[in-house]
Amino acid sequence: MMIVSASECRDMITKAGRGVGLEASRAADLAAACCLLCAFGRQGCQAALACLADAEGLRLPESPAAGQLFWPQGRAALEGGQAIEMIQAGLAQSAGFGQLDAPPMLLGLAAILAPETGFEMLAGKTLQGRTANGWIDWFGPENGPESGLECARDSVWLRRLDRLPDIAARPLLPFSVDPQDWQAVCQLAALTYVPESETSRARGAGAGQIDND
Amino acid sequence: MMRDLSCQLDPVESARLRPPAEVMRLSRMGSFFPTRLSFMRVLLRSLSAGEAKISRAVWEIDKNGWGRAVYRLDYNAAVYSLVAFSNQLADSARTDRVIATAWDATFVLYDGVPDRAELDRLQAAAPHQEKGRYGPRDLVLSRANKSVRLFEELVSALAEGRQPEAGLIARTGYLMRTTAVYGNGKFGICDREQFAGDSSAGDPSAGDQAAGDSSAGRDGFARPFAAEMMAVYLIRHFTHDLVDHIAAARGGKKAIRLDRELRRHLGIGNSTGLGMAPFLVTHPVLLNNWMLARETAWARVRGLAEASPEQQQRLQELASRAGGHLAEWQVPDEAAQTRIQNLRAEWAAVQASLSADLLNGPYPFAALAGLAADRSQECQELMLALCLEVNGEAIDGLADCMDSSQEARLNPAARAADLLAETRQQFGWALAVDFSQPDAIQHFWYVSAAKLEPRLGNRHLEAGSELETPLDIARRVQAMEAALAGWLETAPPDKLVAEFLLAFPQHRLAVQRVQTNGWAPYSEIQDNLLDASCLPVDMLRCKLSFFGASKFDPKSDRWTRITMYQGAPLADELADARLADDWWLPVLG
Repeated sequence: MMIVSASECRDMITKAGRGVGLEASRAADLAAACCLLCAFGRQGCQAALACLADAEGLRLPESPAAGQLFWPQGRAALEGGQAIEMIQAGLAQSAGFGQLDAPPMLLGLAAILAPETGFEMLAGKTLQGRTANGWIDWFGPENGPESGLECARDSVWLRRLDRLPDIAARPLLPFSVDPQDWQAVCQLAALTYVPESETSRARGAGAGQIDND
Repeated sequence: MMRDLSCQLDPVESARLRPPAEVMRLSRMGSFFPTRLSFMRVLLRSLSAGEAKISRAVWEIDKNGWGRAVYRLDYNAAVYSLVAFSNQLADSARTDRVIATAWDATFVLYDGVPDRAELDRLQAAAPHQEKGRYGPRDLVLSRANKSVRLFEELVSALAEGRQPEAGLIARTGYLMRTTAVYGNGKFGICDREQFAGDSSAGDPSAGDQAAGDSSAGRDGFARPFAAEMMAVYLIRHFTHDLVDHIAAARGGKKAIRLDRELRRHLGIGNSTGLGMAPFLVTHPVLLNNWMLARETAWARVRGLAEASPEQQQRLQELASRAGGHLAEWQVPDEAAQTRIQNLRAEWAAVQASLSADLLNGPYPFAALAGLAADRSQECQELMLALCLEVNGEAIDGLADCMDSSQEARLNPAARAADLLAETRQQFGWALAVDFSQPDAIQHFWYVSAAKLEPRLGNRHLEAGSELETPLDIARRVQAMEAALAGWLETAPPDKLVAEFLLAFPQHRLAVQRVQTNGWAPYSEIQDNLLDASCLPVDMLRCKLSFFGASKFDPKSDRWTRITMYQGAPLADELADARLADDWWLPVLG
């Protein structure tokens, strides 16, 4: 494992998101959610990478019942974020995903996008959690830090809670991340970098100066 | 507890605020001067009030001035250290460019007191700056190059037992120039949230402040850039000691120490480029809070019915000092020097109008604003800074409102029709831009592959615009408004923003910016940052004035040199509250 700061994590995930074509504000929210997962001891970068494997376009939901949205194939950063906002707006009470790329990230995004709304997530029978006031409380059989993505990706449900749950968890800084995950994130971030032109270089700070003055 | 100012504005003051359409223009932001709300000023007041003690703990510097030193800062029940490494550097390797790989000196602001092992760790990393890896006890990373001619002149003079010529010090103003001051998690150093006291309360990415860890009790660094400004203040102290030390080694018994007044007039230089500019766009709520605090201060002062005799006298003294400062401010760039000369003439006219009648009359500070109203924006902003300077009691508390734990937020439950109205009301400046004109989209901002730093390219001449950084707020808002207006033509009027974004997810950033601007009115620079006429140096001056920098010395449209802490109290003068807070636009002699 390697140690990275929250600032580095946020910066690189934002760039990585943009690097794979995620809309800029969604990339920033994904980065914030990734940091939240890391701060709660989960493999946020691993979850973010799962989100970034397919990040283009937005799929429209089905509405199997009143107050319900459903995506047979969902992506946390895209349909997940949209679902949270639809619930937050009062357009639905719950959202389901036949399959979801990164269930923990759905909870992270709920905490970031709608901090004053209480949510509960059920991912099969394995991963469960609640959010309130921008925090996450994990519970369920696989509550260890290694359970990041090993939870069920099938049949994930996010539900608005009528009352804000009481969450007393405490986050950790800086973050401990898998070096391979970090390297993969940096590679995606590099997709946004541009080689400097001579023109630009010639006009940057310090250019054209004799600095032994 | 830090507060968001937008939540606590007095309605009368609110009505007196200058509108964002007047303030948030690049030409005005590029005319700002430091004020008593600037971060360096606030920090030194805090150091003085907190009875901060600065001492030299380690001095392993040889006769040439090379080696390492540690300064200890005891402040607000916490201990920090500035660790300095001074290195031999060939003239050919001395460059202010961010692409440099070696510097005269490198620095780390450290949490606590480093032991030998920690010093050795830092010595292995800090001279390599960005190529090193740092940890959570390292708070700030920086480097600086000597102002070679002044440094050598001072060493020679002091070694020969004479004080250097004052004019030389006034002209240059610093012994070393920093070329980067990194904080907030860069290269693995401590995240700001971890050491910034209670400002992180409620922030989900915040560190555990309650667990009694080493980050507790750091209220002094809670304000924006306080740790970075602290590091620079200590670097200044190091440069003063270094020049004395080398002179003593060279001159032996003949050598003398640098005169206290001359020493006080030696600040720290800085070269700043585009790396700093995008910050103002990517931190809209923070920008709002900085500007709102400044504008609230100005509104509050203009609303004061009278000025006391002490304030009137002080105002006259400071207006005169500002005139002297302008006379001392010389830059090589012709256009910039012409602006300074114009300002000198305007300021002389303003000074001549500072009559007893005006100052004794009703609402004297509003009258002073009126004196500058028909003059240049620089003159107006200088008047603002002068009036704030003599009203510390009324406005200093606003410094506690300049941080923010909030970020830009989207409200998906808002009515889409309301969003359209809000966009048209608040972003008329963006909707008026004709983006079909090549000049309107000439620039594109990007991150360079070589240094991972922000850069600006010409879309019509250079490759890479498909990877541009999303700083094109005006263009995005205009595109969003067009899509929203079209969608609402057929959609029911009660449709919500969430539904609009389901149909047009590509406009989410623009929606977020518009909605944020609704409660953070100073969150947007009201200019097209892609336009051929956009001068990034205006963004730099704005941000640097909030730091407290002066003597802006623009070297192109996209980088500038500045001076920091010139005239500021020395470390052993911090206990004197008057000295600690009386160095606005200083003049030597």
